[in-house]
Amino acid sequence: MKTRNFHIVIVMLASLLAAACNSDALDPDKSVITEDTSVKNSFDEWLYTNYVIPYNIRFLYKMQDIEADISYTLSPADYTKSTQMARIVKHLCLEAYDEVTGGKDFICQYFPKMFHLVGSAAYNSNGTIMLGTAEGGLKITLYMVNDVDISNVQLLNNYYFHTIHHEFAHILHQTKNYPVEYKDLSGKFYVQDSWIYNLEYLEQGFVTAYSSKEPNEDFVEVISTYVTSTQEEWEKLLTAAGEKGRPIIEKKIAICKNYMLATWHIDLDKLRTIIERRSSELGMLGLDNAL
Amino acid sequence: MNRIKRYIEMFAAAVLVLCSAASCLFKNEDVFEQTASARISALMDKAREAIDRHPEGFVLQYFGQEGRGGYNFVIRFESGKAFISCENAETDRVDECLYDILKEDGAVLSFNTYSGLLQYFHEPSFSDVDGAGGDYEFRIEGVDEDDNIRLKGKTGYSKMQMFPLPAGYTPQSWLEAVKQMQKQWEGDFYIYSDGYERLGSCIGQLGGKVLCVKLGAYPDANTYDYKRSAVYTPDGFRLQSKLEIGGYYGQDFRLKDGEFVSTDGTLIFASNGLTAPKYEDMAGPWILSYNNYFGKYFAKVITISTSKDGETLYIKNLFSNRELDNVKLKYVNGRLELHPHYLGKYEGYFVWGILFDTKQSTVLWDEQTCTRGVFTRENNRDVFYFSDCSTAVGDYSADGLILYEFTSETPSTNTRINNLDILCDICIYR
Repeated sequence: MKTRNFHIVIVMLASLLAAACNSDALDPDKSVITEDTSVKNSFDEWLYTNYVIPYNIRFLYKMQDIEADISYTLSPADYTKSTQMARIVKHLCLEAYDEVTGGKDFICQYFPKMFHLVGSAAYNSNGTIMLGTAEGGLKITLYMVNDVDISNVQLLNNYYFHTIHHEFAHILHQTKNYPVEYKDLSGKFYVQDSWIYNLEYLEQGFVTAYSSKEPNEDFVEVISTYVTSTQEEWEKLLTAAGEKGRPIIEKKIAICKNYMLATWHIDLDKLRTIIERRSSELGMLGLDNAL
Repeated sequence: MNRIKRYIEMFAAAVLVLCSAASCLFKNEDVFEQTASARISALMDKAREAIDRHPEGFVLQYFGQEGRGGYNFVIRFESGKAFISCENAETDRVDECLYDILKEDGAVLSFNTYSGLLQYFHEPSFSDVDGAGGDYEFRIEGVDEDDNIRLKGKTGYSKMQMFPLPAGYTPQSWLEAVKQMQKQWEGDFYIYSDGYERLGSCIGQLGGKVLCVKLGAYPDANTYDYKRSAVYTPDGFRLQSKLEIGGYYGQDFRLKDGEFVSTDGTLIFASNGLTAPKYEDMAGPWILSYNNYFGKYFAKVITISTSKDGETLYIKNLFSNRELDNVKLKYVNGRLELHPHYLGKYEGYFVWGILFDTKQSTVLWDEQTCTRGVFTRENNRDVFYFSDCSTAVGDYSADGLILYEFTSETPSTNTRINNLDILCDICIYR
């Protein structure tokens, strides 16, 4: 039986080979690979110097639908806003991790290799919007870039840096998982997509409504909320969580801190202090000046 | 039995080999001389060369979704940047964005950074998550010897053309010229054949940018046999697609002796002789009727007053018990256009609204709280529907509608807001 199948395969292969009698000559002078002919501007050069060379990260600010989610209607990012965003991301995120880890190796090794900016939000028909996505640890897409307001650090943190730290934390726990006991802290309160209706998330021990979706989202929300909040804001959140929610959130952040320190040698408190200091330095970056 | 099977297999194999070998005996001519990839590259080069040959810029006759009208964009290309003007904004406004000609499954002209003018019919919002069906990326379908570039919207599939800005025009003068031509579409029209046989009637929506044609009878906004978007040129207009009535065809029309005549002269749009009241005659009582967003018909007596600018009209008693009682109308080409009313500021944004019959006592504008009741600003370019102060997107009052929109641009008398000026058909009569 096996011999017969083998014969059939041989005959079919021979037939296919015989069919391949195209007489078109190859043209060795013609490449089928198209070179990028787009005009390089000063921002492209800046990105090459500040993202590609030091971090091997591509910062895609020109809209490419192939890099976006085609199920959404999206608008491109504004050029000026993109230049501001690139500088802020570098200062508040990449260099913050450089500072806390003592070098660029951590970001080079683990940070996604592409940022993709989208001008509009990704609107869902259920009335929610998507602020960012991370795909396979390779790419972070940031939406609503056209709404960047460089004078509003809180908005920057809430909309963008919360998202970046959130997505990066996904990559970290997908690389080395966090302790399983974390998932038991709020086990019965995870509600998947019904999180948008969860108004009691704080009392249930979640830092955001989205945290109540599932444990992985919960874990990264705790980290991203913590590093983008001042101590005062964090304390306010704990107070709002009340007697029931506060101890759960405190247990969660303790696990997160231990995980980050033991697994990645990152002190979350130190990282938060660095981010806070760097946030106060944004005014010195000259973001209003063109690149 | 096994032997028979073996013979069948060998026979099948032999037939296969013979068939395959036979494929080498005949040579079919290729349909195209070059590969698809090479042809796309050649088209990209051709488009780039055409663009480079015209530093003065191109006119893009833009069509979005059906029924949205056609718009002139003048685009100057320079060193990877596009400088964009549009008839839908102040003529001296120039947006700057980047562009590329990309190789995808065809050649694509992509304006890949943000331009508010170009995104007018594309940008999504809470109330319109899919945008308005427009495009900012266009498949290049061909470039002719005069450097006219045929385009097709990448997602909306509207066909359009982009041609070099004609000599003697600047971007601003072109846009002014087409605006002037649009003003020639005043009142409503009959359609005639070249022998002046009356074929039908036509009303123009959006100031003549959308032509609704009814064969025989006089049409209203909702019953028509043909609906075509029109884009104006300095000497006439072009329809988004060819119009065929009773064996007569037309797509490009020129103004001649007060009539719009198709380029082959067989189809004619001529005024129906009914003239709109003069601006100064608008003051006084009228009956206003409208279909709300959900198609429900309403009518009420209103009083219109004029203003010093000669084009703005105010409805003074649209609401019975309200603090906001002005709805702003503009008198354009003998037709009334409903324009958003500037309401005030909220969190640094300028808030505009169109207000129809609704329970005003529950929606009082206040710069601090914006409305009495729950209010949430979700996005600065969004439309909100209010119903008794419950502010869920999509809500609407039982007998009316309030639309709000937030902008970051300083209000001006000519400001038109993305979504608010195209939603409702209204009608007034004595």
